[in-house]
Amino acid sequence: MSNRLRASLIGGVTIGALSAITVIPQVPFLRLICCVWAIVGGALAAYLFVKSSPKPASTGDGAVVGTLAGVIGSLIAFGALMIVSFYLIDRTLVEEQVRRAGLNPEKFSFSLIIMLTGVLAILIQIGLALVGGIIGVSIFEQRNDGGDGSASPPPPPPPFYDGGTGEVVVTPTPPPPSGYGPGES
Amino acid sequence: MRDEIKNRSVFYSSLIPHPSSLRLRTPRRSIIVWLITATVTLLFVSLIVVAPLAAASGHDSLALIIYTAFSKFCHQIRERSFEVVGHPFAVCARCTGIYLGFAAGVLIYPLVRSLKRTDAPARWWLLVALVPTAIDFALGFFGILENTHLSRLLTGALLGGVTAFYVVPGLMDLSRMSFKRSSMKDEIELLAIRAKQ
Repeated sequence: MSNRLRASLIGGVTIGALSAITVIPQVPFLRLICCVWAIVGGALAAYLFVKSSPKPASTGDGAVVGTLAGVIGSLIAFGALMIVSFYLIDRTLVEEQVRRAGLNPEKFSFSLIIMLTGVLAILIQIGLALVGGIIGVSIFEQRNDGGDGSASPPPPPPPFYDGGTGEVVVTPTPPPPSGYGPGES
Repeated sequence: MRDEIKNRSVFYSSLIPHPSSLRLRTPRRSIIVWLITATVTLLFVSLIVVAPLAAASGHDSLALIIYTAFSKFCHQIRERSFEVVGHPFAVCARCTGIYLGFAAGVLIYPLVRSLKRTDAPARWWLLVALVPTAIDFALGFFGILENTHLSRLLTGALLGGVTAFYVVPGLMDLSRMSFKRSSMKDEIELLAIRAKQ
């Protein structure tokens, strides 16, 4: 399993687990922290990726791991939403909540509403996890990747060892293969 | 020897794409990515206001879908939310500020920073932007000072606006990652064609 996938998986499971708790109506206090779950999950994936990556991670890498974590997490949360909505919650309670919100519940197809809600929630969660992944790399990546073009060039190759004579000998690079380059056919 | 070096430099320079082609192709790609980001962000932010408007105009299904989807990401306490035509926004005042600030940040980004840049600003800017929101939240949470809709909106907008300056370069970098891959593929194909010749 690649570093990227492993980091995304852990971040995604974190998002999914924490978001799944919020779909249970009995624990509304977790919603007080708003959209932080998805952002934290994306940032966690970015942190794990930065830690395991041998070269400096770019913000684009953060976007990738954040998005992957968001996809995994939102699918877990979607599954939890379906189970809770169709098997655990009394529909009359939901209809009562809807009525209290000033809406008319008689007009709705409950299943369709839950499905569309889940799809919209997935999209929002993926977007937030993407943001979390990018911010995570911005915060946790200490090594300079030179995204502004300021990266120092790689060091020159060491001179060929001359066997202790003190004379520096530069090894000649091999000639280009025939048939390559302009002017050659 | 000199001719050999010259031949070699010509050969190696032929492997690198001409700078003028990169100069022409990269900004257009960046502008497209920015336009897509701005459009998606504005659509997302508009949903916050569409929910109460839909509820007021009798489109209860649409309103319910948006309210329920956003309920996974916000407490939606009515007393802490802005209202339009008698119905609350889909998210609270602080979240509204964060999303509006983010949208504004994305929109003004090209005016402040080049779209070519893929590096994020220094991380302490984000921490500085977080401080007012944290203070506003803490004052209200501990009952020291009752915060208002306006204070939640403004502190949230600052945080959201600064966040956009981290996210847009990330998306630019993401688009360039795919660009690099495709240009590498082009180079390999070009070499294969030349080898055949």
